[in-house]
Amino acid sequence: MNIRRHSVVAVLGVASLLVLVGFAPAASGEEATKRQTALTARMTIKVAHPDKARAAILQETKAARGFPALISGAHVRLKVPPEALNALLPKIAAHGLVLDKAMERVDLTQTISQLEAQLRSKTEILERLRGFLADSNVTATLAIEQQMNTLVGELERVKGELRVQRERSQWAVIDVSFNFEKRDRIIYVESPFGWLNTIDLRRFLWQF
Amino acid sequence: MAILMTRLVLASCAAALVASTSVACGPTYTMTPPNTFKRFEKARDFKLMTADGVALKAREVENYPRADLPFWVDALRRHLEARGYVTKGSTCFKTLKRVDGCTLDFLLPHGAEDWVMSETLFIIGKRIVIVEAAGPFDRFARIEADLKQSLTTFDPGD
Repeated sequence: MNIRRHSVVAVLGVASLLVLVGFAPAASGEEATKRQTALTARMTIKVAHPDKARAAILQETKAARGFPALISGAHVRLKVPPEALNALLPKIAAHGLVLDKAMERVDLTQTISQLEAQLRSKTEILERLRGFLADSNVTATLAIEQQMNTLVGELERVKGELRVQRERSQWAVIDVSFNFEKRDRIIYVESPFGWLNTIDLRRFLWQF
Repeated sequence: MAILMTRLVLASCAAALVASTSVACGPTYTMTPPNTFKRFEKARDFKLMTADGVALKAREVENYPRADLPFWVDALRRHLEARGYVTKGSTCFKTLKRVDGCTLDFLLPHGAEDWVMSETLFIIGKRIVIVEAAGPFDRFARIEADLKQSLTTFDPGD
């Protein structure tokens, strides 16, 4: 009985440590997974008719098996399969004058692998704790249940985080703005040619 | 006699004042504007505007240091791009009187809207004549083609 109690205490101690630290070493013998990447493209285009352009872009997104994640007056956020991104971007650009474009690529492989390993480890520990419930006294049962509750909370957090990261790698995001995003981009620069310093929109309107 | 002389002097001064005022009214520009633009006939300056707020005005500056049209077009583009304006396009053309001109269009945020600012330059010896037009992007787009056509009729005067 003493040995079993010591075993329960030892497992509880290890479980507590793992929950606190959040460390879960990857299982040995895992094969290298395919690289998982989050792709985000940002584009600012000026169009004469934003409503028409938006409708056309949404049609093109649908044809590329994507969907709109956000639609507003001057901004649309689209999600498309990563393999459709390169073909769709020039179609969107063709609707107007491209003022700005950028592409961001984030490698999520390590993050997803670590989350999957954490999920496996915590699930294993949870199963082991469950196994001790049958033979434990009241005090030990309460202690085990407390640890299990904490573990379940941790598992849900890890599952949620894993879902988010997998979603990021499964869908490429295209952010399209119809207006300048940075509204304070105009700065004052002194030109050595005096009259060039009089070329300014605010000045033109004020002196009109 | 003294009174007569004084009156003659005063009359001469008045005439000279009128003449100098006439000369100081500024150069006379002419242009056949698009139908949507209306001229401020009583204004000293050559300025026009559409009903929805697209404005056009011509002025001139000294061509100093003395340079040609390509130089000033390049300098203007570089200066405004350094300030954050985005070049929308540029066109060079000849007016009906065979005067060379170049138009540069720029985009920039202004308040809650994005605006187009159009700068057309003519180099006339010691003068640089600048025809400036500006308006919100969607409103400017409506008159853009007509304005480009009208600029070919612009006469910067001698």
